[in-house]
Amino acid sequence: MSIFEFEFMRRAFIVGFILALIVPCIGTIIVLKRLSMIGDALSHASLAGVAAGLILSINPVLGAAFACILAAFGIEAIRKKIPKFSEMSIAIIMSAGIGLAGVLSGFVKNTANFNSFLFGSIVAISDFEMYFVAGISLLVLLSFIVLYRELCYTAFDELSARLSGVPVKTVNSIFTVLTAVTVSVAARTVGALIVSSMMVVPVACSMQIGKSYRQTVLYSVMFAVIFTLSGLFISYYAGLKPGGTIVLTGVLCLLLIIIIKKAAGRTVRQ
Amino acid sequence: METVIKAQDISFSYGGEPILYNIGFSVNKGDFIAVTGANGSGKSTLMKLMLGEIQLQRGNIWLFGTEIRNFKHWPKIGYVPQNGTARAGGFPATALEIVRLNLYSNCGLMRFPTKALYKNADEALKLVGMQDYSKRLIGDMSGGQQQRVMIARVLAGEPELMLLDEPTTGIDAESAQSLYMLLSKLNRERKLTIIMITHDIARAADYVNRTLCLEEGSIVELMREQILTEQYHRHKHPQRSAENNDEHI
Repeated sequence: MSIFEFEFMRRAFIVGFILALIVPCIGTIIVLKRLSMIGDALSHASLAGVAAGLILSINPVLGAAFACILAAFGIEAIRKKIPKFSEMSIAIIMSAGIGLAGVLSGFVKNTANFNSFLFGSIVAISDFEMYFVAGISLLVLLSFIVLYRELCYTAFDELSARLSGVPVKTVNSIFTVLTAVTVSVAARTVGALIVSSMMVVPVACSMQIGKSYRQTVLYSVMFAVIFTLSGLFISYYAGLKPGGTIVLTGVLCLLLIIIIKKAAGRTVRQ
Repeated sequence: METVIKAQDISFSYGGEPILYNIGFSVNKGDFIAVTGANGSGKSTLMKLMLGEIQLQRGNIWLFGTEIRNFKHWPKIGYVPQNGTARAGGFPATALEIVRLNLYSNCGLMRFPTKALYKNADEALKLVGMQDYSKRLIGDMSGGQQQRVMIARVLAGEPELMLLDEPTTGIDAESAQSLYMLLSKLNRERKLTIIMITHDIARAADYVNRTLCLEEGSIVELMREQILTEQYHRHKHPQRSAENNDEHI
């Protein structure tokens, strides 16, 4: 197939596939903790890191990762201070991230590079970025597998998890770092503005059909892989932006699942 | 008689407003206690203090003979939270997966449950009469069934003390009755010490051996006769009793 004749497309498929394995794993826990918007807040904060990286001439992905980690711990800290309105912490950090990114972007000389982070540039991944994404992804995936039970129990009920011996604070801190690094590497590829959709949409699809927690995790990974690969194919042949196409493929699939499920439910009732 | 919980001179206030004032009580092994009181009387605060979820401001609590500040054996305590069923409703996990979560207390970090522990989870579901629902999503169950699964989850960890925060909220009268019967059976047959917050004292009184009532910051132990008198008045003057309840709410 001609699409794989190009080095940049092969790289895009490899990076897209790797990200599709880890993003929904993190997304499942985020959705179950009712923190779906955290991806948005972190990705906007990552833009501030990208701008800072470009100004200081350090790799913008590293800048994004650093900003995301700071933002994620900021959200946790605010969440603990105002537990009754914990979702406010996401809005505060998101506003701060947008504000800082807006101010710092004024000092960035190469605005094209900065703009590529807004909607992603999966087809313009460098060798360093590909290895960086692969390394981070391996770390996230291994951590997710090792902490599978702890993350599930903490998402279900933190107090019960603590009583049964789960080191909740440590698990939450590790998960915060995992979320931050996942968002920062995903922001580079699918774009900061749509990374949270990549976290939530595959999980939303799998929750419609999953019959257990394990299935929900596995199906969300499966959906993410399908959306990413089909999104890349569609974007290549239709000449569309890959990041947006991947997310729109997912949203369309979610709508279809909901419609089919509703129709099937109606048929069963009749 | 072994003392499971001893609380002494506990005072607690939110933003300067006292909720609990110089409260003291003790719980013995094998007790089945109902804690009742009007909304805002500090029942949930007292439970959070016993669980170490909020810090003591004054007084002290001993759990299994150890001061709560130094207490490390939390897996000895099982907890069924208030609105646990509402929270569980949207969680995409089967009853068995939920119950198996609490096997953690017996195996810990980086160690996977053995076959014997998995059997514990199966038996816990059987004990609460939910073995036929083990593969069903928790969200697809009724409130009463979900609450049974929550209890099975706690039992899988083999606790010595079970704390329940309003376990019958949001479930119908028949399911509530059968839940009390289940708790009573666990208390009798497994010698499980149970402390349960409830508004439904009239029904719960038939199953518990002690009733503690929180009122205006202090705690009093209600005698069975007092509860029966209250029940009598409820039957005799349902309207007045309902009005009294409204005042409490």
